[in-house]
Amino acid sequence: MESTKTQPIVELQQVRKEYRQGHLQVQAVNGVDLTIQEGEFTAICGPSGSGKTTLLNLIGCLDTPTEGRVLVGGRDVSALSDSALADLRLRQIGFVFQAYNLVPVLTAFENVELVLALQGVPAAQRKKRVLSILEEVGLLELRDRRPMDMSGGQQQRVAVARAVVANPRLVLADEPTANLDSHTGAALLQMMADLNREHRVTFLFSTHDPMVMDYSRRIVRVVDGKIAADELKPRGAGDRSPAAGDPPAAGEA
Amino acid sequence: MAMFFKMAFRNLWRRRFRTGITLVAIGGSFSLLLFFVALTEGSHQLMIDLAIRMQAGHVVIQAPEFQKERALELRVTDPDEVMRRIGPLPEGWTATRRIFTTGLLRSADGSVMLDNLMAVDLENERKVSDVGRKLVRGAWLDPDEPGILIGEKAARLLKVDVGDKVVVSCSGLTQKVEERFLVAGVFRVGGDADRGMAMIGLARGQALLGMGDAVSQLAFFLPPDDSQAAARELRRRVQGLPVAVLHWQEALPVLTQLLWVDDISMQVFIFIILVIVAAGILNTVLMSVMERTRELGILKSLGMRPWSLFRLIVTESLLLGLLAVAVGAALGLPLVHHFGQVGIDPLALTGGEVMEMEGIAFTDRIHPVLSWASGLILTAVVLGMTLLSAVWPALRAKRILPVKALRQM
Ligand SMILES: Nc1ncnc2c1ncn2[C@@H]1O[C@H](COP(=O)(O)OP(=O)(O)OP(=O)(O)O)[C@@H](O)[C@H]1O
Ligand SMILES: [Mg+2]
Repeated sequence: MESTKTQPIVELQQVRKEYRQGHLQVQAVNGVDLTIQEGEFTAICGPSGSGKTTLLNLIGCLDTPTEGRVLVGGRDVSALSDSALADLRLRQIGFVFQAYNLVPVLTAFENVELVLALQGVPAAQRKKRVLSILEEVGLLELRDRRPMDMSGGQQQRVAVARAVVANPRLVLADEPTANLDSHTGAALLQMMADLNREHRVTFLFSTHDPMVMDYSRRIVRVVDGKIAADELKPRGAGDRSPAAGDPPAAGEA
Repeated sequence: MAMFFKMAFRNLWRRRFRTGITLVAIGGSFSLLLFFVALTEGSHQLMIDLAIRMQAGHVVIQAPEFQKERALELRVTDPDEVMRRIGPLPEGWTATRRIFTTGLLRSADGSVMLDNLMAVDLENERKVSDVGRKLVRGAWLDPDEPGILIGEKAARLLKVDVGDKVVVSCSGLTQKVEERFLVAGVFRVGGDADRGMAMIGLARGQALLGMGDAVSQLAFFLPPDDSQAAARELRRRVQGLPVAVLHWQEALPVLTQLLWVDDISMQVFIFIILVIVAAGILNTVLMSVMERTRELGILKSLGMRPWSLFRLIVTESLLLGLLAVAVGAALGLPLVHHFGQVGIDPLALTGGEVMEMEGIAFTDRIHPVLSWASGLILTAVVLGMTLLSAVWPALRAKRILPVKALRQM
């Protein structure tokens, strides 16, 4: 939106998603045009049932639109096979869900390592990457714990570490703070804002949480499957308007 | 990939109670199969061994028509020529000559029908026959005496014992003949043979029946190796002579048939057990896929390929199958080994009923044996079954839609 020089990482063109429930048809997403640029830190908000999750799923290639085009990294994803979509997700997109993100039988370390293992990164290199990202999210001590033995906030931090460990271009987070208290939620957001600033990872949230909106520079409001407003705050995470590579500190929540 | 095994193993461990039950069920069934197959193999070996020693040989040579009709005139007229053609016997082989006929055995107190009166090569028959080892009174035949070996039941009916006189009357080659014999020994082999079978020396038999040098059968006993190959080789060597070379499977069609039927029923039993095993695995794996829908959906969203999910589930079942086979072998092999040593009383298996076939009673203890081939085939079949029953759950895992899975908490 702001910087037309860079290739948008996500582009939705007239996207519609219709669900059928018996005779009832639900327009979960109803004609959305949306462009997300590299390095953004953007929140999609709106009332429950407005289509936020559906929108993120479409962008994350977990779901296919009924109509319209979804482009990720400039590529139309409707043409891709299941395996190719899996590869696209593996290499370009990280996911953080609302809760129960982790594989219960794997430790924090292994959960993060999994993505690299799927990418075929050699073990020694995996270990280095995983340890460094766990240190960054402050979970080095808990690396051998199973999800069951961690708090919700700690689990979400592991999920974020897993989402960013392979340097994806885009991280999609569906209500990542919904199950956390405000203090823990703020810490998680600060962490993601730091990752956004330091590694230029693009973050796209869906949320009800005012705190997430405080952190985000761009806020897309969705009502009934349509974009009702698209606001850009003068300051906030994902702000890249000043000299490139030197953004101001993250939002003052 | 190591990660796969780690996840598969831990998933089994996570549900260790259920995994344990499945393991015990599959492992138990597997050990049961091992034991059952070993028992069948052991009893077959016993039956073959006994039937061969009593009625045939591993390979027999006889007149071409003799197999159809056991008549005296259907004979091998020149057994020496047959042996000359065959040449020196390999190490461990025994050849014995026999005449088979029927007749009547009489004493002062009564008579019994002999449906198997044998005139046998005293030296060689003794090495192979069960009769010599199962004498309850008396001793093996002496070539210098007009001796006869009779069964225990016949002795009781005729009220005779070792040393007593009996009269054998039968049809010789050209006329009816009759001769006195002295009871040299009384045997108990079990079954009808104890009444209807008797043995005399070959030379005496040939003279009595007017057979000259002729015999009904030359029977060959070999060490336990490829008797089919031996039969082929003997057939080649006696080519041109008016004799037939038969492998025991041809010479004892009833036994062959019986073993075949027994094999079929064993296979049916194995199949039934395997279906139960497969249902058990299917249930376990399917449940573990269903209750992990969300987790599998997350793996898929992270970019795990559909076929990788399939492989993950198959790996899990394979691991389960391998563990089960290990448990089954740990339970079953000692059992097979133990009973292989001490043997099992066949009466215990049949509930006191003596199993009999063509006059041969199987009263010897059965020693279960498991051949490597059977053990490996069973293992492969159980593992194959495990994999097969994992296919459907694994396909379900492969087809999980992340969007749906993620809505599930
Ligand atoms: N699989 C589905 N089948 C039928 N209807 C669906 C399905 N998924 C979503 N919907 C409907 O689509 C609409 C949008 O749902 P979506 O989950 O995207 O909303 P949301 O904005 O994420 O809501 P929330 O804030 O409660 O998570 C809702 O009306 C929902 O009932
Ligand atoms: Mg939602």
